[in-house]
Formats: sequence, C-alpha cells, structure tokens
Amino acid sequence: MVDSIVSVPPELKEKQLREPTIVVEGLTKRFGDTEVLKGISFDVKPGEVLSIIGPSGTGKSTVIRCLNLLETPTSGTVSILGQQVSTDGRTLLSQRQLEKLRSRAGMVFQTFNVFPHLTALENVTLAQQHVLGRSKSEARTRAMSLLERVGLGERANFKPNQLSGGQKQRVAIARALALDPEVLLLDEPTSAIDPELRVEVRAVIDELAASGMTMVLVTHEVRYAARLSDRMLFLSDGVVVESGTPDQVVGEPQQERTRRFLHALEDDGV
Amino acid sequence: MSLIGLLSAFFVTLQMVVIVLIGASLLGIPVAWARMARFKVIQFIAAAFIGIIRGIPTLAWLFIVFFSVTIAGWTPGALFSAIITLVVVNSAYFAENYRAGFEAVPSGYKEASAALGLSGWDRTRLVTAPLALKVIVGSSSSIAIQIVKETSVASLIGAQELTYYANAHVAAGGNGMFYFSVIGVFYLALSLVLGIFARRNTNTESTPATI
Ligand SMILES: Nc1ncnc2c1ncn2[C@@H]1O[C@H](COP(=O)(O)OP(=O)(O)OP(=O)(O)O)[C@@H](O)[C@H]1O
Ligand SMILES: [Mg+2]
Repeated sequence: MVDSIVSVPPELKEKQLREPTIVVEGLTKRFGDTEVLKGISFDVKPGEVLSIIGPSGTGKSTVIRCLNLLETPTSGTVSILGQQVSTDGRTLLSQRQLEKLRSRAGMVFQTFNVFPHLTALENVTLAQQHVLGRSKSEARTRAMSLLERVGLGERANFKPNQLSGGQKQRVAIARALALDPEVLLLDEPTSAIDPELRVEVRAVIDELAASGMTMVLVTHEVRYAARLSDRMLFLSDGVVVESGTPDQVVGEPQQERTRRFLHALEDDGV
Repeated sequence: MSLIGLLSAFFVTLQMVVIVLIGASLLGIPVAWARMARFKVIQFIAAAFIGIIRGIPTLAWLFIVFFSVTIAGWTPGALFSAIITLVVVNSAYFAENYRAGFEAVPSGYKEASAALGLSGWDRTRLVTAPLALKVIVGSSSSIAIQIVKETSVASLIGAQELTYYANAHVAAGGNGMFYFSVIGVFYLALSLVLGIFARRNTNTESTPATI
C-alpha cells in the first residue's frame, strides 16, 4: 500500500468506517415531462466498488451525475462524503462548498473530456493549481508521478489529439486522481475505447480498486463489473430492479427483467 | 491623380479599420457577456440591442448617428461619427460571434471542468474561453472584412477615405473605371491581410471536435 496511487490518512479512514461514503434515498429526476429516475435508493460504503448496470437510456448516467450535482435531483436526498448535498430538489451547498465537494469526488467520463488545448501534463496540473492551490512545481511532480503510474510518463507533453482513446482516458483518470479524491465516479470509462485498448484502462481501475478507492462505476461490461465490484445495482426504466453482490445479481438474478437483460448481453457475447 | 492624396485617403481608411476592429471587438465582449448572462432581463436587453443593430443597414445607422449628434449641437466631424457608428454596429456582430464560439465548445469540457471543482470564473478563463477563442478568431475574419468594406459608406457623410477620394476625382471629370479600380486594389489588399492573419491564428487541429 506504500506505493499506492491514493493514500488515505488514517484518521480519515477511521471516520469513513463509521458512515457510508454515499447515501441516496428516493432519488427522482425529471427532464421536462419525463421522469427518468423514479425513486432510487442505495449506498456506498468506504472502500467499496459499486457498479451500476442496465439497458441504455434507463438513467445510469443521470444517477451518477446527481452525485456530484452535474444534474440537480428533482426530489429525494443525496449525501456524499458526510454531507447532505441535495434534498427535495434543493441544493444544500453554497457554490464554494459545491466546488470543494466536487474536488473530493473525482469523475471520469465516457468521452474522456480531456482538455484539447492542454498537454497531458497540463490537464493533470490544472485543477491542482487552481482548485487546491498547489504550487506549479508541486503540481508537476504529482502529475508526473500519476502519469507514470498510468503508463503515460513519456507522453506527458503530448496534446490529446496525439493520444489514443485509451491514453486519453488514462490522462482523465490521472487528472481526477491528482486532487486526491475520496471517491471516484466513473461513467462508462471504457465504452468509447477500442476493445484492445480497454485492457490498459481496466488495469488502472483494477489497481485503484485494489488500493481501496471507493468507486461508483457505470458500465455495460457486466462480466468485468462482476469481477471488480463488491456490489451491483441493476437499473431499468428509472428504478433499481435488483441489487446485491455480483454473485446475487449476475449469478442468481431473482427478477425476470434482470435475467432478460443478462441473456440479451450473453447473446451479444459481452 | 496625386499619389499623396491617394495615400492619405488610404491612411484614413486604414486608421478607421484599425480603430473600428479594436473598438468593436472590445465592445463586443460586454455585449456578449450580457447576452449570455444568467439574468433574463440583461439577456433580453442585449438580445434586443443586437437584433436592432443588425436589423438596420449600417448606412442607415451612419446617418442616424450623424444627424442626431448634429441636431444635438455636437459637431464631432464625419470621420469621428463614422468610427463611432461602425464600432457600435460591429460590436453587435462580434458579440454574436463570441456567443457562437462559446456555445460551440462541447458541453463535455465544461462539465469536466465543473467536475474538477474549478470555480465559474476559472472554468471560463482556463477552459471555455481558450477553446471558444479558436472558433472565434476564424469566424471573426468575416467581420473584419465586412468592416473594411463598410468604411466606404463613411464617404457619404464626408469622411475623406478611399471611396471619398475616388468619388471626388470622378466628380471632377476623372475616369471612374480607373479610380474605383485603384481603390479596389487597396481594399482587397486590406481584406487579404486580415484574412491571412485570421487563418494563421486559427489552429484547426485543436479545434474541439467532441472527443
Ligand atoms: N439533459 C437532458 N435533457 C433531457 N433528457 C435527458 C437529459 N439527459 C438525459 N436525458 C434522458 O434521460 C434518459 C436517461 O439518460 P441517461 O443518460 O441517464 O441514460 P443511461 O442509462 O446512462 O444510458 P446509456 O447507457 O445510453 O448511457 C434518456 O432517455 C435521456 O434521453
Ligand atoms: Mg450513460
């Protein structure tokens, strides 16, 4: 653990053991007239990896985006990192508190969203300097060590358009880790990457899980999720159809809806 | 045809182009900011300003400004009136261009910068604006070229720029074909220089194309 990407201070670890990192209760979200989330509840304990699986368009991204308030929930409560952030459509944080919270909850997007005008290194130093107030040299040192950890030490000065999808996503992960987040939110981190290149991104995520990082992972890769996760959530049409350990959800699904979904995936060879 | 006369007319045109370009592109910033403001009232005022400005020909604006300042008893001179008019009119065009540039930045980058915990101002300054700028510089070249051409309407209120020079010579019996061809070359040269400048500063390679 000495060499792990993230180091959690011991006093924090103790505190985390007492309360869940994320608690979501009765979360609903509507876009105009369509209710996308219809009352979702779940929690994530410190050090746990929770995967959210489910068909396209059922609101998986919406759930994860409600956690750091990229979307404002319509009702229900969201608590994260010991703070209640939203209840019944009201954001309970000031702008500053929200920014602080977001820096503690890293996010990785399906489309990477690595800033195209900055090099890999600058992508990783940017928020360190402007959010955490680290000095330029401190930020660079940290960024270089993270880029090396994700296997991109030699590409530090490359612009995103000179990197493959898998490489861009690893820069994005390094960018999120640079703020020493206490939880990582990953929305289909490998879906937009060529299958051969997914391996390298998965390796980074595996290592994070092994190092005890708390993670919420939205994915279509059910087998991978089952291997990685402590618990899984099967979401369909805006409700949690089934949840439990991978053995329960993927191994012995109780709901017909879950079985149909898993069968359809098997037919596709996923 | 006196070379000195031609050159001094060209200098007046050049001076107008430079001042109007700088003035309008700067004035366009607060207008664009207002157009994208969170408060609906400010947004509406800016939208109305832009709509009214762009809905009336520049020539008409020139006369409106020229006559209203004259009626107000202020005689700032033709050149000054023309410059003020062109600055204000083109600020509306620049503002729309800036807005389009900001809106062209894929939302994913804005979200990524928000998710990192950057403040609103830092998000704009460090991410959205630099990405928008790449789009803006390219599309602003058409406004710059429009400005070069619009300076010619100032001749109608008596500003002694290139078109005024040609008109004056033709009125005095000169060959119209010849004089307007000569000043045409000057206008063309100005437009070409501005076009090349814009292309130099547009880095199409890193223009955001989503992923
Ligand atoms: N900003 C928005 N405005 C309107 N509708 C939206 C918005 N964002 C998402 N939706 C709708 O909400 C529904 C759920 O979207 P969401 O992206 O959460 O699904 P998803 O489960 O992540 O799907 P996928 O697997 O394709 O990523 C979709 O029907 C989508 O069209
Ligand atoms: Mg999604």
